[in-house]
Amino acid sequence: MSRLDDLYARHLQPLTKKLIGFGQSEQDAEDIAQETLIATWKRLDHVAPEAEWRYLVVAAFNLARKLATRRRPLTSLEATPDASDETSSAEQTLIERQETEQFQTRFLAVMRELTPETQQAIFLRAQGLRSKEIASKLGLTDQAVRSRLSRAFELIRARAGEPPADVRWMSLFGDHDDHEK
Amino acid sequence: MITKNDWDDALNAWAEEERERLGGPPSPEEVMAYLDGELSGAAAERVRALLVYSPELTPLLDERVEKPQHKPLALRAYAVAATVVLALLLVNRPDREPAVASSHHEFSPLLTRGTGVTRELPAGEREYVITVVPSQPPDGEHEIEIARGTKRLWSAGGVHPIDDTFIVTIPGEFLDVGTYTLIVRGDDGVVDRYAFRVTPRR
Repeated sequence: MSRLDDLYARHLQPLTKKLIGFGQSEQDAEDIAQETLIATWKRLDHVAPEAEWRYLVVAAFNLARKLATRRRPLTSLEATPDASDETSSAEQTLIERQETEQFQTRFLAVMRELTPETQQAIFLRAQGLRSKEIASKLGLTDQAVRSRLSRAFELIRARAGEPPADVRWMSLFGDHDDHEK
Repeated sequence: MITKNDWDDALNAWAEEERERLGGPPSPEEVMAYLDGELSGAAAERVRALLVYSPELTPLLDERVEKPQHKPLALRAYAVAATVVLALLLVNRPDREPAVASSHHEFSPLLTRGTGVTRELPAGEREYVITVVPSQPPDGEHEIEIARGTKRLWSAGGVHPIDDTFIVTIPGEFLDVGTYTLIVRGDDGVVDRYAFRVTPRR
């Protein structure tokens, strides 16, 4: 069995499955997995056997992201409202859009004031990770993560506004109950 | 009305902005080097940030191998010396009985909202316990100084935060009625500066 065949045999299915797990269609997932396997095979001399899977995963998701960027439809927040809309409705939409843009500007401004680790902790919290998991990924203590998040949320609330109740990631406990059981 | 979608979109916009700022996805070689502990400093921080902002790759962060990093000998010697001095101070302290703190003050820019605020501490306390919550989570070693005007009264270097805060205890007799400044310095200079005034008791 050639090395490429071996690579296909061991990794095509799990890699396709992983890509599907992250929202790729079955067809796209298989195409991306195949393309990744060929690209990796060409560089196989530089990849240690024990690092093969990790290498494939990174390469596959990089490729998936590149494809997604290429396919992204050109939409714009500046698009004018449908001419058939009622004027009042169009005005309402415009006001809401401006409100959203202003909110986003405020949110991004306050995020830029935080340290990289705090910014990352917020993003990981939004992915549903517990404080302990965030701490282990960022090399911090659980307590440090909580205190950073707590301070950051206070600052975000003060500058960007109070989030709706269903924005669970803006709570210290996120989507999971972080209390010790 | 700002909805949950707006909040989620704003956070995703943030992640996208960061991914672009950091130069797009890391190459598999960079990720392998990071996970094997072969990158350090800015290069390691960049790859870590990109792994955080790429949720599909985030689980790889758990596979990172930490290469042991030794503090420079001078720093370790300094830490040992500081511990010895602290131990001697405790042994020689006349008041060696346990005591419950009679006052506690928190110096936090988030609580006071803005600079130029002078915190007031009543004179005549046996001991002042001050929790300093810096405006930015502190990393590494810091120096804390208490000054009166331009005169430095006391300072401690090589200080590490405890849960992102510094706790300073000041004996009551150390502070006369007057105005003081507590300064927190990091590697890049002054991190925070808090003015406080010890006021006579009525």
